Amino acid sequence: MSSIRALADDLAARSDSQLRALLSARPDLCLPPVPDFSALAARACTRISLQRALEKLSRPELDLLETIVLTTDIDAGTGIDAEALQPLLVPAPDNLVQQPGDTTEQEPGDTTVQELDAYLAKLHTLGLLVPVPAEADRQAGFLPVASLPDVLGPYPAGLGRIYAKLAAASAEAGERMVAVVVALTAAGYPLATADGLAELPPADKASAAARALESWLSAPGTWESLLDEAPPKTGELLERFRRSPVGTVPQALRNLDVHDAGASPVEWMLARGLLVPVDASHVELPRAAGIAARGGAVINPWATSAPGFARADEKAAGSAWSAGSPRSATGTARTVRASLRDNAAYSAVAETLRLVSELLVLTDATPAATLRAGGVGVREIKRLADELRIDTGEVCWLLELAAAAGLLTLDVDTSKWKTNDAGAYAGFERHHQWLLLATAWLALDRAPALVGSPAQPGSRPDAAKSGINALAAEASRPDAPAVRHRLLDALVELSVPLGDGTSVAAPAESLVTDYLCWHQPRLRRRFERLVPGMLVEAARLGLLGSGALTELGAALAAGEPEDAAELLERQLPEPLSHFLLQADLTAVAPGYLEPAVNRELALLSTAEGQGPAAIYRFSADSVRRALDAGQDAEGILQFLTRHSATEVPQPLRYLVEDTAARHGAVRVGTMSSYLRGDDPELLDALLADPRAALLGLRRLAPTVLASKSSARELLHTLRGLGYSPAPDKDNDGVALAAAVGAGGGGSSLNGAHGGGGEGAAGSTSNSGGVGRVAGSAPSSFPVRTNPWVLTDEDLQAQLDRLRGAGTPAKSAAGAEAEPLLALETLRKAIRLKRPVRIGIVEPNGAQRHEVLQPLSVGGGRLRVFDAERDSERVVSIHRVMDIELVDETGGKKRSTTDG
Amino acid sequence: MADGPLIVQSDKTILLEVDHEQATEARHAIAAFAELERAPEHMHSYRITPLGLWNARAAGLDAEQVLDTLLQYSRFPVPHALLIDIEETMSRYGRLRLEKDPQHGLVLRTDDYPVLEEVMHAKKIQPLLGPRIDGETTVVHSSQRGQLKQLLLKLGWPAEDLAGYVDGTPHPIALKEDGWKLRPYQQVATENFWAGGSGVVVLPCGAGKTLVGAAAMATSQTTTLILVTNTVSARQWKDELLKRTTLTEDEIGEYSGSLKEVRPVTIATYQVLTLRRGGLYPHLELVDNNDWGLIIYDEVHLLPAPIFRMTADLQARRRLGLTATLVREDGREGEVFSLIGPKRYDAPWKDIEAQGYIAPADCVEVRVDLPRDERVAYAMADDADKYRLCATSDTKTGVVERLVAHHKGEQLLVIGQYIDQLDELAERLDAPLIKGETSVKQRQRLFDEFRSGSLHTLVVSKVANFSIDLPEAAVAIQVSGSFGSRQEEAQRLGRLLRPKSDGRAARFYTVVARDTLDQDFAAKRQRFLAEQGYAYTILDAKDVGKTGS
Repeated sequence: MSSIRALADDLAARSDSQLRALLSARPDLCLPPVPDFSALAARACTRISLQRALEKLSRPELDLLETIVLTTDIDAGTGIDAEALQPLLVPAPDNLVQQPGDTTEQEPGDTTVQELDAYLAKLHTLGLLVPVPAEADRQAGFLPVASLPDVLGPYPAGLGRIYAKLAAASAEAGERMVAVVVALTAAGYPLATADGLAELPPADKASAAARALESWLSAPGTWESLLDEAPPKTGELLERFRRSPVGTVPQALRNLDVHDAGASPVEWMLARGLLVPVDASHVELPRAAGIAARGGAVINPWATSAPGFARADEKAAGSAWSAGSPRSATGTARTVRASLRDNAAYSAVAETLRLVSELLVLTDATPAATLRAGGVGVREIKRLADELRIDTGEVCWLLELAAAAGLLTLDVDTSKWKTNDAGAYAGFERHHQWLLLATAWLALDRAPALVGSPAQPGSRPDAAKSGINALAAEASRPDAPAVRHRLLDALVELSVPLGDGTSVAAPAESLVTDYLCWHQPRLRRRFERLVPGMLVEAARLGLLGSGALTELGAALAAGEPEDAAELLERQLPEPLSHFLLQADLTAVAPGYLEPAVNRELALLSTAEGQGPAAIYRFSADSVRRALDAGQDAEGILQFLTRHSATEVPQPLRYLVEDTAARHGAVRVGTMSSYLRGDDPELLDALLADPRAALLGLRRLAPTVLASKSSARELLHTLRGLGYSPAPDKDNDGVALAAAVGAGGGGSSLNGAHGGGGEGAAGSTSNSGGVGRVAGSAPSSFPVRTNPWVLTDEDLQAQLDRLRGAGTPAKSAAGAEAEPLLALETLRKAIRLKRPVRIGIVEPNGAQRHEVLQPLSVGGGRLRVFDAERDSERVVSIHRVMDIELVDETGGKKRSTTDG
Repeated sequence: MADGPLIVQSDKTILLEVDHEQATEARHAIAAFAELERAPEHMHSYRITPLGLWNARAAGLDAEQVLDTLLQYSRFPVPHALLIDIEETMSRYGRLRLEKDPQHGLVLRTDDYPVLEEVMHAKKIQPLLGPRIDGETTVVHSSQRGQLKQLLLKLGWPAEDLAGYVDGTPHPIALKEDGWKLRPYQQVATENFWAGGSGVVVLPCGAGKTLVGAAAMATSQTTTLILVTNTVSARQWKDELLKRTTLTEDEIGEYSGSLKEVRPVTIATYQVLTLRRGGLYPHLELVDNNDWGLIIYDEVHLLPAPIFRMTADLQARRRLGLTATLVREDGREGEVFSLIGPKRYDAPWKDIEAQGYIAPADCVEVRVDLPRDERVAYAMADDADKYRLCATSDTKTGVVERLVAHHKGEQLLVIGQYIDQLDELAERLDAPLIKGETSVKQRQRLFDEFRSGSLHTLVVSKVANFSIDLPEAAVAIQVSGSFGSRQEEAQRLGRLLRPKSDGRAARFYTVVARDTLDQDFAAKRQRFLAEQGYAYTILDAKDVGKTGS
């Protein structure tokens, strides 16, 4: 029976509560709602849904599922039950650490059948296993759903293929196996069927050799006696094959002598067929060898409890200070004093808030430019880092954070990141600022920590070299919010309360990652790539302090950010409105200064140092800056007197007054050309002439006028007005005269060369920039909600609909299920190498049926072998109407598709 | 959050609010590991450096105590990265130890094998080490003790020196406290020095550094070598020791260009020790051939390079460095610390002033405008001549005259760099000039006259920068200086800081040409004093005489 049908029957037979459990665990199955059970089953067997379901499995569940996939045969319908599974899973000897709160004592090395049953029940509930009823020739048990082996990958449980498959996969491997069997038999190893090998036809030799090796290795005692004669370090070599059965070996196909005493472990294993070469440089550890190396079990050790915070390690945890210090990084369990944790967290919060505000001030003045390739370039980052007096990595993080909170937005007209309503943000109280940043970070679908790291393969080639730029599309990770929530939850779970009340657990990064990976091993890569950076970011936001989860972090994890903000409000000191002025021309604000005062002070002086107190140094330059901005000495001194807790020192007063007195001694403006003449009256007349108003003339001295027009235009217009101007004899006077004389139409020339041309050039470069940037850089960061949210009503509606649709046995398969059933039939045929009868629609609309041998299916195409024509063809799936498996016994299985 | 007097910044500085009620307490607590960097009137700033942290370790403080101090006195949460950094830095100290081995002599020992491997593979360190005894121990050539310590410090693995000091030849010395007592800060400085074994004491000019030296000798009770900058200074040391200790004339020898006495207490000048003849230093044997129990370096900020090398060989003897301004324009402060020893005591000038031990001082910067022709000449001058041109402006002379007239009857020094300028000034003011070519006899006579009050105004060149004792100088006018030298400025102010009999404030004028290099250099020179809390009032030349005094 088809696996999908079997699952549909199984689902239909479930109780409402069981179905509820399934649908809440896999909400994607009924979003959008499905019409009937066959559609539900079909959807449950799709690759993407299975992947989602597998992502939620914990380490032991996944191990168990992989074991089942290895030991069952879907096509033959032979399932497996707990009793048969029990010897295949060897629990970890000391399931290392108990989960927090877990008090059950486990006997090492022994799994009970009941425990396995519980795991099996869960996998069954999730729709990953289908029960197989007992029949005459077989026991009752479970089978994995059909496409599960595909989804789990080629090497479930990290074990290789069986000898027979290896032999079939490559001719070289088969030849090597035959040679190995012959050599081993000659060397006196007890291999069965070896005698008859020579008489067999060449085509069957390899499979016979494979059978011989398989049964030899499976025989009890073989592995132990082999290990006795193995060269040293063979054990270490085998250990390296634990995660993946494939390894790289130079000259894997060379002939090796069984008797070579000085053989390396690899050579020794190759000579005995314990490693099989798959091509010239790769070898694979066959499944039989892998299982033998694991002591006859598929999973050994089977870690049934999560890594946790071990209290036993507390004594060895070392100094309470050494958060993150290299010396303690190896220990996974560490405790810190609660006061120290809070100190770290609140200082980090204050620092982050201060830096974000400073960054906004900077970008307000000079928006951050983006690169053509997207993101903010290194040079721009360097500029900000210099001005903020922090390192570039931190600048990237701050930019990302500010953009996430919507404080920076990409201006598509200039392709620069500009502040967005920074004034409003600056006006927020600090705990509200934090709330905005922290919630934005939680919902951010990017991974700021990836900035600077090499880009993933497949992205732009130059990005791989230089690393990801800040705010570039490459750091986008849609799964980041989910990982962050998962991380916070894990931290809550790992933060066991410690007895003395003053210390808290501070799990090391490796423990957090291990813990997450144990719970969701399929997400390992994601966790390993994202979690370390996220921990750092969380620490910068005060969610972690000295490695321990803070109250702020716990409140966020519990989904109560408002509480966290309130908590923070109590901890942050009140803003100050005064500072101390000192005679060495510095001002020190002993704490956080009110934004308005801070802004004013920053204009007058240059900020120095880094930390909770702000230090400003006054200099003639800084005072001049304020004067340029339109302030005067009196105003500056009034401001200083008003906000200074102490008297304004004489040197500072002198500096302000002296600078102001001499400010503006030289003035600068913009003009394009000048006009000079010996007769001031002539110039008077010119100034008064309304026709010359367009020239924007201005008198600088009795005999000198300046004009906003270019020299050419000035000449031309003056001539038009009846004056006879001559180009001045400076550097380009001659050229100017020549150009004006030759051109005649001076204004058109001017149009091409003057300001207009410049403007045009500017606008093209701008628009070009926008087009390119808009394509690659994220224009905004929408806050995403979890797409798979299922309410109780949804669930009930779905159940009602399923129950109303009747049983799949009576109804025809739903429309959604049909293509899947057809595909399943095809896959089965490919697996079993059996021909199918396919109904195909020709391009002209004619239909025909053909018996073909399917070879592979994927990407909307089906590759088939046409035995009649002795050739291969490719058929588009959408032209296939129906597929029937041509049974060897002549019976026909039929399924249809609407193609 | 606690309302402490400290603000710990993430750039490794600590701000101390001076007016806070816990300020004194906190100052003492952090002085052990942080260096005072600036001491303006309201907020002092300290810096946490590896050297400071290692010195704290050497003084027996561990990381936990340091961190507790910061957390206890800090007003705001302390940046966590800083805490980690402190802990890590301090843990590097003492992984290597210099010990005395009964069999092998001086050895370098470690419990941390890789560290020893690392330093032994450093190219510069290899030649200093002898044969390796075992995995954790290697022999050190005892003459290379100082050099090795210095290099290890540079590598970031400071060695804990447990090899101890040689005792030296005992010699009874005691303080003669009749009618005077050691001031509290002198007492503390001496104790700190002795507890640390070797090191530098930083006290402002006029605060009685000589007495710290005398007290150290009295504690040591051994023969002592005192190294000073020049002969005048040597005589002053001798007078002071005779007055303040039980030492008699016969027990104190002078070893200088003119005299070569070696007595239980010998005062030698740097000049004679560093005299070089035929590639050799003939007088260095003074140091090597005698079993000194204590070596005192006066004015360590002037230590010449050969003395550095010599000192490196003297690591087994106790060393005391004395200075007012440990700023060197050549940036070799670090070497002073690693060779003589860490800073054992440092008091902001204003603190000592507040206790009444040094005179308060007003600093005034008088700005003169260059006349038009001088401005043109300045604008067109070569870079090399610019400073001289503006510093020796003629307009300064008029200002100086007005200032001198203003302070008529007070003991007044005019200090400058350029002899031409000083010659002219001496002539216009009708005052004697002391410069390099003035004989010692002549100098002594002029100083005596000045001291007695029969002479009111004295023009001096930079020869008088150091160690001339002019007790009643109340006003100094600086017309030019050695470019931007901070310590010269401080030393010149120091001439005025001996407490006045009538408790008056001293006045220090510096005349500066506006909008020129002179003004830039003045700003640079003033930085040290400004950081010590001295505020410069700024006056326009035209206002001279209208205000002030």
